[in-house]
Amino acid sequence: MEYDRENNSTSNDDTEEISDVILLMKSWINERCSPDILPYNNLVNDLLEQLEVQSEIIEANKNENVNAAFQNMLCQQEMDRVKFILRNYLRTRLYKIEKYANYIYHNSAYYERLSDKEIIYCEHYKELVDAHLFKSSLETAPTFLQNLNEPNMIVKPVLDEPVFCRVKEDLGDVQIQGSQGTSLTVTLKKNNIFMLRYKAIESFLEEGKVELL
Amino acid sequence: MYADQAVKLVKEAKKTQDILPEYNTELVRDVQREIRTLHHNITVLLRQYDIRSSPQNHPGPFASIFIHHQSLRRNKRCLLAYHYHRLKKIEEFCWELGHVPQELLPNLSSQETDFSTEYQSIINDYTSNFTGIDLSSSLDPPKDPYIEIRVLKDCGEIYTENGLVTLSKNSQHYLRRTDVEHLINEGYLKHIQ
Repeated sequence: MEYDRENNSTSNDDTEEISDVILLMKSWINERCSPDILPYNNLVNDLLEQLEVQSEIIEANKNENVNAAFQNMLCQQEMDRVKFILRNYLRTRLYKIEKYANYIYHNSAYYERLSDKEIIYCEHYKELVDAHLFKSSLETAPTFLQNLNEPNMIVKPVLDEPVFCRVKEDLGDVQIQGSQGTSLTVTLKKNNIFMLRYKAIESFLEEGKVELL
Repeated sequence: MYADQAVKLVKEAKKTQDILPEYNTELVRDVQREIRTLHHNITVLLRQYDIRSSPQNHPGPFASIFIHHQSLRRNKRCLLAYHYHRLKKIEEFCWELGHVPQELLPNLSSQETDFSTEYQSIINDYTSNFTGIDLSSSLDPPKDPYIEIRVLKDCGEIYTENGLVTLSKNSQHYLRRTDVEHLINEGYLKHIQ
């Protein structure tokens, strides 16, 4: 396997890039459709490097001829699209991080899903917002009112939210818990599309057995 | 009625969802004053009656304290909602333009001005890790790498991949979207569909 990869690395650069982009696109779609924060996709940095290499190639071909100029334009457009996905992916995550900053801050389990930089962002953000809210609203209030971390004030991701998902491999009969203690059995067959509670498919999503739509 | 002022604050925030109105110092102070009065009333009642150990002997004062306490919590909630709502608006400006627009600066409280500066530095810390992409530019998917733009306000010369371009008022150009996007956001240029 290792040998194969080395052998192909020079000739198959293109396909490798495409698959990276597709993988990131999947992460991006899942991230946008899920109510929870998903683990960070480390491909971001690889893709950024590839983009840099690509823009150097474009720069080098710049004054070649008409064909190269046309090719460059197509490349440029494709790069813009990849950049858009990267940007949207990172911003979507930041949006959720800001929304659930307080919750993440008190749940170390969530830290594993964030990149180092996102952890820094989340911590700074929470401290900044708390400091501001305290100074502008509660500084003069009695001490027992000053707590900003009461359980009902912490915004949590709603894991009961319904999501659309496509099953990627046969998963057999699966028990799905309803809201009032009811449960029903669903047969998750490959390529079928379901609308289910996020909680029910959370573990499958983590294992890559379903994807969100 | 208690917490009326606080509800006014929340209503104000709700009515002005798309704009950032002037910070309502007066009303915020009123609510904070009401919080202190309510708290004072509670302490007085607690001092007068031995409610903690035997609430059933003093149903009247007990109910009074309960109502006061609920109003306190409601006031707190409304105050936080008002401020948080404004923060979200400020954050939006910080991402879109890199700062709160000049004409809106007088509408911010001094704490909000501090917040916007610090928030901006958090954003900058984060985005400086991704030099290849501009995280703050539009979140709409790109259609064309080149777009037609009209110049609304003089903005001097800008450097593009094909050299310098002078953007003088009312002229029209066909340029790389990424080169001019920030100028569109700031209202110097207009994208012609």
